[in-house]
Amino acid sequence: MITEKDIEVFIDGIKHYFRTSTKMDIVVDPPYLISADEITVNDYTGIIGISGERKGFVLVTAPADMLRYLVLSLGEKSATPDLVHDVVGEVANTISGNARRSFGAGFMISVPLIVQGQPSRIGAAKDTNGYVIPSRWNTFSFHLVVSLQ
Amino acid sequence: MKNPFLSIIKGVKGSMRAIGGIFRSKYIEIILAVGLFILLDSGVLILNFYTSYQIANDAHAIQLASRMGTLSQSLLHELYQVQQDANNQDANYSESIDIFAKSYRLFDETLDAFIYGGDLIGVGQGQDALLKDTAYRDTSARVLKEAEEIWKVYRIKLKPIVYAYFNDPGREKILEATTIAIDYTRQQNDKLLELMESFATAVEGVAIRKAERLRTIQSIGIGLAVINFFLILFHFLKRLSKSDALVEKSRKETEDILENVNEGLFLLDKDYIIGSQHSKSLHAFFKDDNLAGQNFIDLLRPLVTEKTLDTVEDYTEILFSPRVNESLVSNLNPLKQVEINLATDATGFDIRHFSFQFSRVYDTKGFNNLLVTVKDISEQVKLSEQLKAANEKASKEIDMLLAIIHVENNMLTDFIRMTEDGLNNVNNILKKPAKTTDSLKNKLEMIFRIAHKLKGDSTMLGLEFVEEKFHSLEAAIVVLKEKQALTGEDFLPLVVQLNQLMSDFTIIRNLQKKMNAIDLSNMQLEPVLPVVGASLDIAADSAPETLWKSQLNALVKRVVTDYGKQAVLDMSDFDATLLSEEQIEPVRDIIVQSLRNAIAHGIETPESRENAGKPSEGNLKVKLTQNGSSLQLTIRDDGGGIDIEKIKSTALAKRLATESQLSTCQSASLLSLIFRQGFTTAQEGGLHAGRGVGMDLIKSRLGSLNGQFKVKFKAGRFTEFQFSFERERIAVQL
Repeated sequence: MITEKDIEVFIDGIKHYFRTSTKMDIVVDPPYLISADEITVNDYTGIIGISGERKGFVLVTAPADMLRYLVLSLGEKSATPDLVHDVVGEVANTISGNARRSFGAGFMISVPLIVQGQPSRIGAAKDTNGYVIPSRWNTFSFHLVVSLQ
Repeated sequence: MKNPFLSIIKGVKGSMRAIGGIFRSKYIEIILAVGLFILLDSGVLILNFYTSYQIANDAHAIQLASRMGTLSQSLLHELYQVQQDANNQDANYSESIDIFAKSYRLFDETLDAFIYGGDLIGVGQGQDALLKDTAYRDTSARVLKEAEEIWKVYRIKLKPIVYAYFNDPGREKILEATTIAIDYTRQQNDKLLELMESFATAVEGVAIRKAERLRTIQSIGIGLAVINFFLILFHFLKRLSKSDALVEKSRKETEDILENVNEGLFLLDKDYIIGSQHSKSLHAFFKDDNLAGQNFIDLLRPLVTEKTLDTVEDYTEILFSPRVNESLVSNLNPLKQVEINLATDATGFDIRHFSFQFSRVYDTKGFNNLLVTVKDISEQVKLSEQLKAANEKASKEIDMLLAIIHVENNMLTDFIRMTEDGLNNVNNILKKPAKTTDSLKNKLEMIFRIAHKLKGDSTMLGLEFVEEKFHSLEAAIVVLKEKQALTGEDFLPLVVQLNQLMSDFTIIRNLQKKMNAIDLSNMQLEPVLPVVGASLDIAADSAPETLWKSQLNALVKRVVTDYGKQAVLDMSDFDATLLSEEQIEPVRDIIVQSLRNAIAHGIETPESRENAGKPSEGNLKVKLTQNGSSLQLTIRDDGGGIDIEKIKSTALAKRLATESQLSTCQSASLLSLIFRQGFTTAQEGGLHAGRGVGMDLIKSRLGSLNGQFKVKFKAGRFTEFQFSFERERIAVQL
């Protein structure tokens, strides 16, 4: 079963992104569990598939307002939908890169899939609870969901 | 230094071997046939040269033979001219003699050459002619003989005139000689002309026959060459066609195999390049239609883990090493089951399992390729994993079954429901937003209370493995409680444990469902299971009192054993029917927590009790009686009572009160401290008490009953908790 350390890898990844990109730490609220059919997402979602010694997915989902603000705070003059899309990709990539380094050679980490709105399908295992890690950046709330067998 | 001669010898030997190889090969027939064709063609060509030479000679001979006829006539004519010039005193006869002499000599030499062979200088177009061919004289021997006989007389008769060319005998003599010569020549002239014409015709005939013969030979040569050509053409075309058909058949067979074989087949060279011929299945396996020429490692890179990729590289490198025994490494193939993660357009991967088999492909020079066989064993692996998971699940379920089978079914149902509710409550508490440390601490307290209650329930049912898990959850909460600053991330260990508990209870719930589906009443079960307190026979008598007693007896036995103490439970005055449905759970929680505290803090060890003059076995009494409209729950132990001094020292240590406050404090106020969360007089938290949450839970449960409590104790003698609450009207189902 998934361990605290596994989940911390993803939390560290997202923390690292915001710390280095925006010079502002995120606040992680208490995590909780969610069943596969209860998973809901926000305006934009970056999904990373994981395979190998562990299987499942990790997603980061955030409201469009937060992502637009994030784009502007990264120095862009305007927050176009493309830039918003890209910034979700960057966040997901950072999480993915951190996971690659931490999990080592026994894992496969997919290229992040960026979805606006509800994804058509999330490869969640039926009997596996997902870990929701509610987080805040600036005044915005967003979520990291880790679902690994 | 290398000996250059050795190299040359080696080179020559190599070439000889190569040539020998060619002649031994299937090409020998075509080489011989083409050689014969060239030979025939060369023969015809040489014959052509020879023929043209012969034709030139024959033409020359014909010309010479024809000229002899002309010369015989010229001689007579020129003799007349000499005679005429000799008769004319004014004329110079030397010139006509000169012309005559030349004709004479030409005729003489030509005839001589035709009869005996020899050179003729300055004939034809100024070229020398060599008349060696005896065919002319052989065919016209008689003619030539006759001509020679006539010519011999000619010579005699004409000689004085010819000599006059060198030594002039005088006009008279010449005239005389000319007259004699003309007489003879006139007699023989027609004969000689006829002979010469006959000879010319014969020569011509010889030339014609020769030309015909040569033409025939040439035609035969060309005919043979043409026949040879067609033989080559038809024979080898047939063979080529047959060979092509075989190649085509072979190609078709190979193609059919590669099109239809279920396995992926391909050749891999030392540079890891996939060969152009591979089975169609391979495309489906790798979802790639352009595999030929691709690097196998690059193909696998996005599909397997780095670890697997390293294994593939290492193993194939070993296989390509000629020093390594193939059969040895084949047995060690680490790629018999490789997880392949194909990318999908949705999230995640399409996970397949492939089996790779490698075998070396040898030729005369050794091996340069590996034949790779790929099988999709996803279904087998899936079945195997399902079997493994089913075995693990079954094993876990058996463990759990052994752990829960002693619990009466209704009690187990209640326990599962309450525990799952409790766990969901914990998750809901976690889910509620909390931004401040206080709200986080409050969350923690609520979770702690639930965990402690659920742990008590597990203890009561003798579900040790569940009890231990809740104890571990409590321990994690205690660690967090001690932290000054609390963050959301700190809750992660609790959530991981919560997830584990939820998963366990899903198994227990499913297990119970299965158990319910089996009619246990017809089964003869021996009570050999590790039953704690309760036994299977309780299922037969599930009256409320019996259930309460058996559950609580089990709890007491379990807790006293854990503390190395001895105690019996007296529930003779406990009337469970007085309680409403809603009151059962809080009352049970109060009793469970009170009994655990009584054993942990009240009842002394058997030695201490004996030293104090008490029976080594302690007494615990639980009473539930009606007093007017209210119910009274009494829990009494004959232990050491409450140690007020210990409460004071704990309060001081925990800075809950100052020394001066404690000195003026009434016992009742001091006792209220024990109901504070986190307050405990125990040195360290144990499985059943010591974390300061039991009394807090009792207070909370009593609150839900709108009840009150009293505490009585006497040091060294007893402690008694009295809880009173309103009796609720019990709905009676008809």
